[in-house]
Amino acid sequence: MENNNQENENYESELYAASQKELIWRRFKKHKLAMTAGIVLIIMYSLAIFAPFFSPQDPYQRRVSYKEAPPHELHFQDAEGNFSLRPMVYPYTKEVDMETFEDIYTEDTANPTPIKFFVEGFEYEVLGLFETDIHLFGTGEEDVPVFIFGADSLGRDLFARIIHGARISLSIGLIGVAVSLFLGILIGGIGGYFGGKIDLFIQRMIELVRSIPQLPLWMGLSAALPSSWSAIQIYLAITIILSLMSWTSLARVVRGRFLSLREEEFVIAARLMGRSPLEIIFIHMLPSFLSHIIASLTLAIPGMILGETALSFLGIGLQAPVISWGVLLQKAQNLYTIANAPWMMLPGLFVIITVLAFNFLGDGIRDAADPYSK
Amino acid sequence: MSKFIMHRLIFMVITLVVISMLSFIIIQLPPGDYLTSYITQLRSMGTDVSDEQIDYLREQYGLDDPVYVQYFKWIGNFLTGDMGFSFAWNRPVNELVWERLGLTLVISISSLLFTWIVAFPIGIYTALKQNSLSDYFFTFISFIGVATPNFLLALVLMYVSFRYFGINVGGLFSPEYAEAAWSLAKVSDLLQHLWIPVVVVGTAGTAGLVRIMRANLLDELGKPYVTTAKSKGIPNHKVILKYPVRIALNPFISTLGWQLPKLISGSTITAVVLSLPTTGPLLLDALKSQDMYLAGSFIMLLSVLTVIGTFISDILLALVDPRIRYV
Amino acid sequence: MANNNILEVENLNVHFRTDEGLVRALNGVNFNVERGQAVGIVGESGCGKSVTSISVMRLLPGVGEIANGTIKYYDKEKKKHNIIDLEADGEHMRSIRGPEMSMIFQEPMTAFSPVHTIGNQIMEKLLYHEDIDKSEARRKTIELLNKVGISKPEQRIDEYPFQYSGGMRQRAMIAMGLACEPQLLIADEPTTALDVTIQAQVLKLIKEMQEDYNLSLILITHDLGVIAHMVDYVNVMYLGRVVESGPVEEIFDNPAHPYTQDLLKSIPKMTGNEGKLASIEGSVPDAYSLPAGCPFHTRCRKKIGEVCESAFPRTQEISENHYVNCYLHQDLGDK
Ligand SMILES: Nc1ncnc2c1ncn2[C@@H]1O[C@H](COP(=O)(O)OP(=O)(O)OP(=O)(O)O)[C@@H](O)[C@H]1O
Ligand code: SF4
Ligand SMILES: [Mg+2]
Repeated sequence: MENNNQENENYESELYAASQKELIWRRFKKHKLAMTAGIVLIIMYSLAIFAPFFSPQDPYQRRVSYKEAPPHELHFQDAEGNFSLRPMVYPYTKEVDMETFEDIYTEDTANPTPIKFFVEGFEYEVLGLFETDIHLFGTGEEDVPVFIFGADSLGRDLFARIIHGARISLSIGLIGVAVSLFLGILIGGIGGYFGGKIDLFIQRMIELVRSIPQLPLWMGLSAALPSSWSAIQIYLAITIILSLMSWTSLARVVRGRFLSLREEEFVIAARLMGRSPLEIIFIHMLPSFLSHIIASLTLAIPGMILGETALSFLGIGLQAPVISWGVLLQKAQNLYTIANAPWMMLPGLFVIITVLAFNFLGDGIRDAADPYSK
Repeated sequence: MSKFIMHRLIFMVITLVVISMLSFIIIQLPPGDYLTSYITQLRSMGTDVSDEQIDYLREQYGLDDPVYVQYFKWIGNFLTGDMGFSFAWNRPVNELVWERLGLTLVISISSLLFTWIVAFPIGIYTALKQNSLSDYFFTFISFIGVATPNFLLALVLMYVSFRYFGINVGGLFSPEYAEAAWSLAKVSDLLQHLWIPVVVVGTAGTAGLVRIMRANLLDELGKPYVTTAKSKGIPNHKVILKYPVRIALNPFISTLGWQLPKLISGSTITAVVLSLPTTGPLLLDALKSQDMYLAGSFIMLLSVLTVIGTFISDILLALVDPRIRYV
Repeated sequence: MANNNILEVENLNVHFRTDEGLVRALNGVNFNVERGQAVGIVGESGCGKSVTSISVMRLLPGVGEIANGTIKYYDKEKKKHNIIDLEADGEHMRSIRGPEMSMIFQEPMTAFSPVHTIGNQIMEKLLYHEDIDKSEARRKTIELLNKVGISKPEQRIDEYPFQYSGGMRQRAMIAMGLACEPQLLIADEPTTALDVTIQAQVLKLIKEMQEDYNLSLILITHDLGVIAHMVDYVNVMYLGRVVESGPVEEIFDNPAHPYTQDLLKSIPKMTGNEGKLASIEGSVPDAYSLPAGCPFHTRCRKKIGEVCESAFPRTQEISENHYVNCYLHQDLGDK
């Protein structure tokens, strides 16, 4: 009888959680912008994860004859006007303008080179599992590269570099948010669960951290990282520096939720039934505010991405040869470069799209989770 | 009210202590004794550094003392207005900072004004016209504004004005005025250069403010007191301005105090891109060349500004919101 | 017969456009208020009582729309105003809203702006409508506060809503309602948010004010006990319609509509704290998909048959001034 009761109750809270999820999902699906944002992010992350597959050229390979070459135009019609569904590119011939000493690239229309799909190129490992040299697209010819986003000042493929840079720029947000989440749930949870003096202290602490100016501190801490550290160490350190500041907003959310949920009927009921605190938190409380956490997390990611970009851009974050969007943008710092090779600002476009997508997605999740709060 | 102010004051002091420790840690962090490494660097470049000079510096910063003594010496000096010595510039830090703080303030305050002048009307307008075409338009724009890193906007503006108008917009002065003494001509030259950094620094903030203002106002517009006010027969626009807008503005009035320091630090990156003679590039250089007294003191100074700003904000909030005042 | 009505509401239909669809909140509400009369509106939550009152004041939110009907208001000079035809925020409507009719809201805490003093909010109304200066407005406000029983009004006038107790806030709200000496006072559940002991005081105050100022009163409430004490005439609402109306004794002694009968039965015999409507069996259908015919047929225990689902029953006068819409009281043959 006792047992039965408990089963029943578990079943009901599962049902509650399930129908909650369903409701949230249904509301979320209605949010067109958030859905689109989600799809954009899936594409971004796929590009990052399978970056070598999507890159026609090795992001580190330099080509002297392609320094700051503009993006290749894809042609569907050759010089004679023959139409073909398969796009092609013309290789560049480079001349130097003897007055300005600028490189001038012209298309060599005599040698149309078709774009092939699933072509062989440089070798790479897929998820560390196996090696292959198949790429989504390319010319298949070693000395005829295709630069859909142009080349940088060392003749490297900017598109390949952007999607390789995405690996760092996109993951830094996730890892940073995971660290903040840990701190936020731990600290905010303690405050919210115990309340009273402990809560008061934690609130003050949160307030204190929030009143520290963010950017100078970021700059100070990351500039103080020893230059002897390896790229991966720097990467982790920067991530932690970025999350040191942003856990506070998560902690606030968690704390607030805990405080209000403590008084909710179903939690009180569970408590009266003699459930342990942990059980209450994980079976009864967590499902009902998981969505809020996810929303806050989603909204915290852009700040991290922008933070990394800013620090690396300033030259005190990640450094070449590591590729990240901020590192790439560092090359676009002077007027000379952006006037001659404006495509070097393209990594910025990726930053904007990603940040926008995370914002829309987060808004959508929040609205779906809690349609009555703004 | 006085109890409230006391609380905030105590909190302010605690915050400052914590921040001063953090700043000091930043000074201490670079490996090795920076003075030693600095002197080797100077000597390798052929600059002569006398032994007395070294001893004087070692003495002044207590480099042979334990860390906590160094901390107290540093913070003691800081409090008396001595922010240490910049090894890279070979000048006292406070001279360097004050020199640039003026222009920094000019840019920050103008940006703040720009932000408010643009953001409030748009925020109010979009909230009142919720879900209209213009609402969607402004919302979209402000989303993009939020998502665009400041420096990118600076780059784009630089590119556009160079490419299409042939103007090089870097700096705050034309070359002929850069070193000149202040004059009416110099001021007008400054004004001609000022708008780009102001727009750049202001835009990110504007976008954010529009979104917050809109959300706040939408919240308030639905509150019962708005209906009550309308039930008195007062015209809608009067009601909206007197009640919900006033209340939706509260958070801004109360954050006024820390907007400014935030703008000062936020403009750092823009200033680097546009090579403005403000504090931002100075901080960056200091950090890069590990001129740690300059960097640490500078971070400390910005933090002090922020914390004082927050304190002012708290008091402003109490002034505009009676519920806090009477606690 | 000389028309002594101050308010005539006829066939009032109000819709709300929401994301989920069209909410038909009012579906043909009819009622009148005579000069000096206290009229009650009762009904379960969601039946449209508040929507009726804010429609009369033309304070519907943007998503709400008066789809049909007329609202006629007769002012101090007995001049007729077609409320529906006026622009909601126009000068004409605003000269009625406030000086002619005013409203007391349910939640005195949220109905006042938290950051303006009580005095400021009352004086605003006087200053806007009357040609007086600040000190005169202040004097009048103090007088009003005094009138509604707020002690030390000279001091209280400069205090903020959060410094008032719940009951005092509602008194201040009444003072604000009385400013500019309106003729019609609409009180939408004025005591629901208050402690029981305070409720009685506030109701007594409203009754006194009604008599002192010779006001017409529309009192909206869940509480039939309150209705019995406070009003002369009762309108019973169900799903956006008035289904029965009559003099208060008639309604209590000879309720004709099965819904009214159920309402009365649901009052616990022990009068006192529990005077509120206990629930009637069955649940109210939602306003997105209204039942055809008599809206009550899904819950009615006396339902006759298919006829109840055919069309809304006509209004039948069953005794003097006692009207009901129910097929039980209709000669089915002459339909
Ligand atoms: N702003 C609105 N948007 C959509 N629907 C609304 C709105 N205001 C009221 N309604 C709907 O109109 C109907 C009547 O609401 P109303 O507030 O008049 O009920 P009520 O009788 O006053 O109830 P209560 O006793 O709970 O105050 C309800 O179905 C409600 O959902
Ligand atoms: S009309 Fe029919 S259903 Fe409606 S109340 Fe009368 S008897 Fe009941
Ligand atoms: Mg109501």
